[in-house]
Amino acid sequence: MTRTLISIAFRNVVRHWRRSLISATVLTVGIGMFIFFDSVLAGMDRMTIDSMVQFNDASLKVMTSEYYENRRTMPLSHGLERTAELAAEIAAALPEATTTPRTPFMAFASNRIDSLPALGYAIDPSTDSLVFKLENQIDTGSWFSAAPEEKEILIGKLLARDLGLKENDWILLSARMTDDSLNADEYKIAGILDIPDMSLNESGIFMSYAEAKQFLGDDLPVTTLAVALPRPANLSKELGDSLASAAIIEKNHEGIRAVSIAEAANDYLAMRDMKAKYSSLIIFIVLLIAGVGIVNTILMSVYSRIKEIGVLRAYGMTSAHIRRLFSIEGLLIGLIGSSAALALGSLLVWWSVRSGIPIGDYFGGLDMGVIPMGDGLRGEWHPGTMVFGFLFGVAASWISARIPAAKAGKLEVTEALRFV
Amino acid sequence: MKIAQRALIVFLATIFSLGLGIATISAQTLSAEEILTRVDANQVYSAIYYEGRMEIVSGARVKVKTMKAWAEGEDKAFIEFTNPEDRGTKMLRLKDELWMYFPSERDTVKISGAMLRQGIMGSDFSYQDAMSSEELSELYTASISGSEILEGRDCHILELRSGASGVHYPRRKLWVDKEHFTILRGELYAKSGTLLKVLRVLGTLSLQGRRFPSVVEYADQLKKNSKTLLTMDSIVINPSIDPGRFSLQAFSR
Repeated sequence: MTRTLISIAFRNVVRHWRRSLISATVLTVGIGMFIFFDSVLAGMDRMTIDSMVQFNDASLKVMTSEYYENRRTMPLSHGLERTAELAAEIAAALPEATTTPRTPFMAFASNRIDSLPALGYAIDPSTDSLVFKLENQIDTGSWFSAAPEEKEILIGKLLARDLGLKENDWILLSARMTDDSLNADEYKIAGILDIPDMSLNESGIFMSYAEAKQFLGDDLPVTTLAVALPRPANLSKELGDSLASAAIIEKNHEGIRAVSIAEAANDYLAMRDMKAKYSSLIIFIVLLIAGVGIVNTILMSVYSRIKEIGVLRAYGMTSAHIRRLFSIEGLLIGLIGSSAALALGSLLVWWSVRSGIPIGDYFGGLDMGVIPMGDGLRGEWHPGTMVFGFLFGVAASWISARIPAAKAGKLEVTEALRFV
Repeated sequence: MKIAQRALIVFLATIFSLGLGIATISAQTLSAEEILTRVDANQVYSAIYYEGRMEIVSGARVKVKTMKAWAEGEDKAFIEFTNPEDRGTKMLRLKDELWMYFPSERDTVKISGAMLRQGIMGSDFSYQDAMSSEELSELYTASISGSEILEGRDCHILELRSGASGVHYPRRKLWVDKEHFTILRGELYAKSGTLLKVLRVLGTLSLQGRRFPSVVEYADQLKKNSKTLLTMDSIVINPSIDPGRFSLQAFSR
């Protein structure tokens, strides 16, 4: 009997193809968008952490305990000693790790008309790209020359825009030196960086250690050693790896603090946890809209066929047969719609992961706070959500068909045939 | 540390708070160091109270801040802003430490490190400028580079240089009134020789036998059309000040 019911159900789905198509389309759009939105929300988290790792915080940063205590004021003291040996020891303990020194400092950048606060970094141009992706972000101009003829620096694109400067222009920097006296000097802008991290784009200034020592003092210390670890497939593992590596470094070196990305991003991650309930609400609303659409179209489909149910009952089908027949129909539509939803959702996720959603093109210069928007909003593959969405679509369709079918199955043949 | 008789420097007006010196000695006979010592001598009071008005000019925009200020010795100063936008904002300086209190957030922030270079309330005075209280003669080696008539006053031009650690402006150029030993103009330079700030004394008052700079202009040379004008009124020299004024508890009063 089951085989017969499946055969009838299949024929009914094809016979009422318009209704079937509408029901399946509602499922496809509803569940497909659910998969896409979930991917985008997960992608925002990964993008934020990626941006921190690739441009500022690295997988972890090594500094002295004294510097760690005062790090928010960016002192030019409490530097690391034996930096080369320390880097070698880290490489020995963490064979896949790469390192580069960085010394952040506060400065003011001026075009002689305006003066804006800037976040400066003394970097080693030859090793910086082993840890950070700054070199890939040149918008105009070039990376540091191997043998510069003039004092050169790189600056963030928005800082350049705010000061009305372009590559090869000169910029006046002023900052406190290592001995607390003030210094000011002019630098040629070798390149302008379009950095996804909005804060660096707005205020970032990068100069070589050679220039920084002339500007800030010959005794300028290396205050942080940035460490890059391989990028794992998911965020949880990335955070876990950075914590474990930081623990190894601290265990091997007394008086050294290793600040993992998990610790550096602590504020963001706490904020993300707070936001999670709102994100869940968005997902729930999308799912609810999809669910209501599915239930509505299946209900309409079943109620419009009550007379047909009366005929089937007249042919001798029991109410259990009727219920099973419509359940199978609902299941078939659910399978078709959910499969299409999976395909649509996957296509959208693939597009967002591969190309990024060019949200910045629509909202030029949109500041999304800690979420870097420069490269477009990228989604993240979330297989668990896809499976859940597929099963939800099938189940919603099945239940939606079963409830009115059960009610219709209980009607007398004459009542069903008279049903309007 | 000098004895209590040695005075306070007027917090915001530290760099240009000047006194009247009666030039009984012929200025021509003084060396650069002696001139600087007399300038320092004019800058000392044991305590002061004043009500101030700060006009912050940035291009066509002018912001006005008003304040009450108390200071005692060279290590203690307290400012309370009284203009409507900033009413209740307070600053306390104790030796080398500086705090600000923001009433809307009910938050006390210690100003330190790189934050010291930022302008106070958006003005051309940096927190670091407000922290300077040492005598110029202690920090700099002076030389006389010439004479000039400035605003109708005959002035020595002093070149000050310092190689010492912790001196914010390694080089200064001062125009010192030959009669009163007050600074009428100052140029503050970075280590590289770049001019960072220019101060001008636009008005003075005679108080207790000294000439006090009551109107001072301070201009950040890294910005165009930017200057801050500080006018001091209701000045009281050596007032009686509640010792509790110079404490963090005073923020919550």
